[in-house]
Amino acid sequence: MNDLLNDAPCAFLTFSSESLIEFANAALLSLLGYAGDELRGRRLDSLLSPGGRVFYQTHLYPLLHMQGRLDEISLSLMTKGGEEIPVLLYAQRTEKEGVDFYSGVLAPMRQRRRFEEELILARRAAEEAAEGQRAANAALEEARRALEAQHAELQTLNAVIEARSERERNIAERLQDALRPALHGPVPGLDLAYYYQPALEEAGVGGDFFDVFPLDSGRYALVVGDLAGKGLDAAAQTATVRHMLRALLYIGEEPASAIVKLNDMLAGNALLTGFATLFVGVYDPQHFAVTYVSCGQEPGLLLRADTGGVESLMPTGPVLGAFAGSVFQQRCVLLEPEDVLCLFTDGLTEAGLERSNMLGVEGIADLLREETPEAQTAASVARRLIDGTEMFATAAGIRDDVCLLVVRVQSKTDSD
Amino acid sequence: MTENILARNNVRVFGEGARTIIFAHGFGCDQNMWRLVTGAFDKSFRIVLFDYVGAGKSDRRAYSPERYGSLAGYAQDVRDICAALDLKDAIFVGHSVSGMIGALASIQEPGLFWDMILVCPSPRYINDPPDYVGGFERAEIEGLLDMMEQNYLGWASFLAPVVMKNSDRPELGQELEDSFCSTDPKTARQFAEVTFFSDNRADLPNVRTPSLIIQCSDDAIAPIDVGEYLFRHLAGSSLRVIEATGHCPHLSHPEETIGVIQDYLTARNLL
Repeated sequence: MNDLLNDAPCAFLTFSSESLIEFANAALLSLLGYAGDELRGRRLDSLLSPGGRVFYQTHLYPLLHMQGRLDEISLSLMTKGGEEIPVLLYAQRTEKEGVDFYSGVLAPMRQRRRFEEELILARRAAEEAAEGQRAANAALEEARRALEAQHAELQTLNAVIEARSERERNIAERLQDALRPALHGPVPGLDLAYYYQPALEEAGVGGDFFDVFPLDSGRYALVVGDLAGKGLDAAAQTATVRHMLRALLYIGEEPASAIVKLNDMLAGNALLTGFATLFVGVYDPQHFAVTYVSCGQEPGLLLRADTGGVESLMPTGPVLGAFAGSVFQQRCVLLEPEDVLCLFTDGLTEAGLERSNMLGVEGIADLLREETPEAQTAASVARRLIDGTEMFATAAGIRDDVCLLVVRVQSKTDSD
Repeated sequence: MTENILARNNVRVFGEGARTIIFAHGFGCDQNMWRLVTGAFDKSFRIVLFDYVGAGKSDRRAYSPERYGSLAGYAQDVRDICAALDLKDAIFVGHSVSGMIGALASIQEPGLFWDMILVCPSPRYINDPPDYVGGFERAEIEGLLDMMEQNYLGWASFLAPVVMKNSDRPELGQELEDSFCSTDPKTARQFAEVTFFSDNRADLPNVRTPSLIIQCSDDAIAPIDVGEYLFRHLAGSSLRVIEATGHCPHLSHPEETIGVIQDYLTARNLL
């Protein structure tokens, strides 16, 4: 049998349980460059590459010992000349008469090793690519989570901001309502209408104002004013002028002395950044009389029902709040049934394309003259005045604050 | 927690005795390596066997490259098991790299071991000229890693993904576990790197546990120079050079191995 094994076309060896080589065939000797008995008594693992020796001790020896065989193990043999030859090892343990007997076959596989090494490189590359992909996916997922968290945070913030701005809007609306002029309750014998349009529409209030309120004496105050300037500052100062005037009239001052005191207080304490123009009339329903002071205000226009003529109630003093110690006159005008008194600010008269081509007081008076007494109400007069002004001002629009108060004395039949 | 550790490390406890011997396997296989030896001790001692995480039938999902990136992670396995079993003053028997793993555990937790028996140990496998002979050059260890990779080629390509999440196809995981000495190639490679590239020489002066160094007469992995180095640097150590050759005397020469262990335990009044 040994002859057959010795001449076999593959490398073959037998070894002891301590891995000492007992027989190496001709193919093995020739493969490794040894001759005769040179391999007998050598340790099997001493023929392996250094890495292979460790692998043999840590893996192959225990495997062979405990499982009784090794299959298809990839190793490298070292030739006598120090060259590495890749081989596949098959080995087994057999028992003969109580003695363990180990044999092995070694098949060189230079081509296959190269192929395997390429496979390993390919597998590593694939694993690295998969790892990279996993890492990229993880990073992406992380970024997505961060984005979601930010989005949620943003939504919370938005909700907070919305709640806050809703609250602020409520506050602003309440304040605007308090400042915005309006008519409260009827005035005996009079039909009233107004038009009020702040230039800064979104503010809801401006520098123009009107005020109609009852006095203790049974009389009524009719006020139209215009603070120099527009917007919120003007609106705030408007409130000051309006309520100080109310206070003076409530304590019984006549219009002229009320205005003198108001002017002194405003000018002496520098309560206004600019000045104000103002018409204040006190209407006595008993006598259909209006006692008025006009501080540099656009003339009040009084359309007489019986003649169809228009009278102007001209200023009785300078502008308000500019100089302390100014003197203001007061005048009285008697109204007849169906007379119409129009009080307005310069936003109405100055509507137009340019300064040289404005509607002017005359333009308003012309609009008034077109009215026919029968069809009138205060509201219709106000509507027509505003429409007429807007038609005139089409291209440029009405740019300033505009305030118009129309007072129409009721006819005898109206009051019946 | 205790049950988790015992399952994680596939811990087996048997034998009768007041004192416990814990056997720790080395790089390459698992607790089966001790099967020719434990029978000589289980009448006098309680025996503890286990697999390190990543080896044998341990729970491979517990493996993390961070924890097991140094021998300290494996030392923590030993300490976890001792804590789970409430072990103190045990006798630690460690093969190969487990010698240093046990030494690290004994430094971290004095009182854990009464004695240590180190079978073919090495504090450093790679030569550090001019004064230290470990037995290997770095390139030779690289050769080992390549060799391991080539031999994992066959099953790694289709089994490796299964090992990572073997919940999908448990039967494949089982097949893998049944194959002795098999493990996930990445785990094996990292264990090899941690084992063969580690240098624990600086830890030796901190070891306070008496020890027996069992040195084989012709060990390709831990040559006699290494055994002598350890003997010089481990306080309270004994060195026994045995007839057995190779790196696994507990497999190749169980009777001789059992004999020197018994001699030592007798001399230490433990048997």
